[in-house]
Amino acid sequence: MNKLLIIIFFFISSISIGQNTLDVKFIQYLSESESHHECITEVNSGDLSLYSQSVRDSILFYKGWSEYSLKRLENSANTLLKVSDKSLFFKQSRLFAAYNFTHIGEYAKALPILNKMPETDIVSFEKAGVSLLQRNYQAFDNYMLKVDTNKYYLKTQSQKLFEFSKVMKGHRHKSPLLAAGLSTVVPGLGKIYAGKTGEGISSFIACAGLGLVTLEQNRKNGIDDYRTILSGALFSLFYIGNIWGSYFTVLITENEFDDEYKNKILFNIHIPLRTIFN
Amino acid sequence: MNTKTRYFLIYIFLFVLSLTSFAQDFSQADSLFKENKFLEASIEYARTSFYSKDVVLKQEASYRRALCYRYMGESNRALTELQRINLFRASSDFRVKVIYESVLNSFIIKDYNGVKLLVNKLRFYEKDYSKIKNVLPTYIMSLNALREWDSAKKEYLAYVNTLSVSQKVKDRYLLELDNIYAKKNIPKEYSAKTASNWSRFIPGAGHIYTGRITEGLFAFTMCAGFALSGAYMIYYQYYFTGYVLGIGLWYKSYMGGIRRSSYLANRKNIESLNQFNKKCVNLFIDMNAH
Repeated sequence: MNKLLIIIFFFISSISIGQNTLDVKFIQYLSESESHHECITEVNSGDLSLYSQSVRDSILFYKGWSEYSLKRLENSANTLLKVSDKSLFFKQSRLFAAYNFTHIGEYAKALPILNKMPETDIVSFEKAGVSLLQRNYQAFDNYMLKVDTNKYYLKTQSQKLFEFSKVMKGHRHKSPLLAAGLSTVVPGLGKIYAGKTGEGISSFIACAGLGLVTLEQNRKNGIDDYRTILSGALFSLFYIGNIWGSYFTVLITENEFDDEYKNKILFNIHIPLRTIFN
Repeated sequence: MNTKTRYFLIYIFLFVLSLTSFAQDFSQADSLFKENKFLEASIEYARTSFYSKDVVLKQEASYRRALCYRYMGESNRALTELQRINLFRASSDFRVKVIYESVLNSFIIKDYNGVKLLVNKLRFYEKDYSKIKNVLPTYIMSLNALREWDSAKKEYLAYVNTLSVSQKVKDRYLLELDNIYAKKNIPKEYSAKTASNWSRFIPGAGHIYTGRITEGLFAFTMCAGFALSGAYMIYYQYYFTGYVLGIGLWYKSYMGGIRRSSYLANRKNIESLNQFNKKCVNLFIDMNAH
């Protein structure tokens, strides 16, 4: 019986040795030498359940870090969230998981991660950033009150977030319907309202030119003439197209504004994270 | 020795063996490489490099990792990996191999000045011409791309002279080489600025300058047609129609023609260089067939 047990023990042990043995130091080496694809492949080739919690945490952290470096942000966030609170990498993993979710616009997933962490400067700062992205200015102000803005890694970025908040609060959202209405009255005016003055003027010139051509054809050849009908059709096409274009110009301009500030905020909440954890 | 002890010793032996057998050679990595599993192979080479204390083995691993990266289409990473190799400490043959690989990767990413720099580095290390020989085709292509025709021809001539073929064959190659690098066969460099200026002066002339005669004539006819129809309409007192449709469309086709001729000049340069390099490559292939 004993012999049988020994044989079974050795057999099971041999199977586990036969699998790809993961070495944290080697995985760390791959991740730190920018061999991120290799790092992920290496981790995926092993069975993490064979390792102790601390080893597993380290391996998951390096995998998550490589995914973050390869901009696989959702995968990275999910991997980093698996790092347990016993790990030395816990704080970094949680902060970067929250940042990754923020970057892909999953604010509802980012905030609960940060809320479960102890309220430190960097945590409050990141929460303030997420709140600003959600246009929750009240929450932004509240979180920023908890941030020591004199800390070297937060000073400049805090000032920037305050500046962005001021601009975003003062930004008047433009109505696409109003732009379309303005372009109906005066071609191109809707685009000028959207902030695209050059485009507006050029649309006005094109529409006015085609309108004048139609009038001229009408005066000289009469309304039934094919040239009048053709130029009239061309004018109508430009006129209606311009109204349609003005509507979308406002939508695009608003998106551009949102994207610009989203990128600025993300950039500025990223800097302190990299400063602390580099 | 009882059974328990015997099994225990075998187990310990196998366990230690499995730990210490961390790729002290490249057999596993090489077989993955042969199966075109370049990512997996690069991990195995990295493993060898990481666990080994042998500098030579580490350097060889870096070199082979660079090969994997090149096959994976990541020449920039391959170059970074090759730059990690300390050439001062490397053997002469290995140094040649590393620089040759660097030259290939630099050529792939179109860093022709980088190729020049690397070949100079190789010449600094190696005085034996036979060791430099393999790099020369890529070097000559790079010199062609940089339009350094005289230097390219000089290198080519030196290469032909080292061939171990009869003088008759050698003379044939030299004649062919003279023909390739004859002034009339060297690709003419078309200036994008000149092409656009020609089109600015006479619509379609820039197209003709780059060799596109039909397109040039069509562009000219189109521009002239719009301008004349505009003038015709204005003459018959269709002022707005003449201005908006005639002059407006003429302006669009005129400006488009200027931009198009500039683009054509750049495209022509690339095409003619590729054709020229093709001739050079064919001659190399012919030489090596002997």
